[in-house]
Amino acid sequence: MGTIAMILRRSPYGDINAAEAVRHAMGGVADELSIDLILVDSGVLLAKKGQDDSGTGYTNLESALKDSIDMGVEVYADKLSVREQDMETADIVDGVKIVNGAEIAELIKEAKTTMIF
Amino acid sequence: MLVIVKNSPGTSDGKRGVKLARDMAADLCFVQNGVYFGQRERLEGFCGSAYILDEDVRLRGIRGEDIEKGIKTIDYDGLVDLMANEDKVIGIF
Repeated sequence: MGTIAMILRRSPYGDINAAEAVRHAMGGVADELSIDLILVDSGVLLAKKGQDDSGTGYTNLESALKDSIDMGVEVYADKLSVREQDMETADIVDGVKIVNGAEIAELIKEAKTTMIF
Repeated sequence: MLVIVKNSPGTSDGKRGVKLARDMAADLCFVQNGVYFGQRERLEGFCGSAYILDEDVRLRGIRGEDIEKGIKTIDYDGLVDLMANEDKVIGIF
C-alpha cells in the first residue's frame, strides 16, 4: 500500500484538524499502514510539550501524539516552522524528528498518498 | 470598546482583529488560538489593555514566562465581566 504522508498545517485545539490528523494516523498504523505525520506552519504546535487540558474538557493532543508515536507513526516537524513559532528542540515532544524542507519534500515524494489537514 | 480575537497570528482574521483594536484604540481579549498573540513580541506597540484566557493558554502548553509582560491573564468569569462592563464588544476575529 506504500506510505501515507499526512501534513498538518493548523495549530491544535482551534479547530478539529489536528485531532483528526492524529486520529487518522493512529487508524493507519492500526491497519499496519506506514504513516508519516508531517507538521508544518502552526501545525508544529501540536508537538509542543506541556499541554495542560485539566478542567477544559478537551482531549490532550500532546498525549495523543505520544500514543501515535508509540504505535509506530513517524512524526516529523519542519525546522523553519518550529523557529517561527518561537520553539526550540527542548520544547518538542520526544520522538518527533525535526527536519528541513528538502527532507519533507523527499518524504512526500516517496509517499503513495498525501493527506493535508 | 473590546475586540475579541480567536484566530492565531498566522491568520488574516487574527491580524484584522488586532489592527481594528489598534485603529479604534480599543482593548483586546485573546481566546482559543488567539492566545498565541500573547507570546512575546507579537503585539509590538499595542497601547490598549490586552487580556488572555488562562484555560486556552494552559491547553496549548504556553508557559507564563512566554507571555508578554502587561498582558493580563483572566478566566471565563473574568471574560464575562469584561464583556458585561464594556460599552461595545466586537468579535470574534
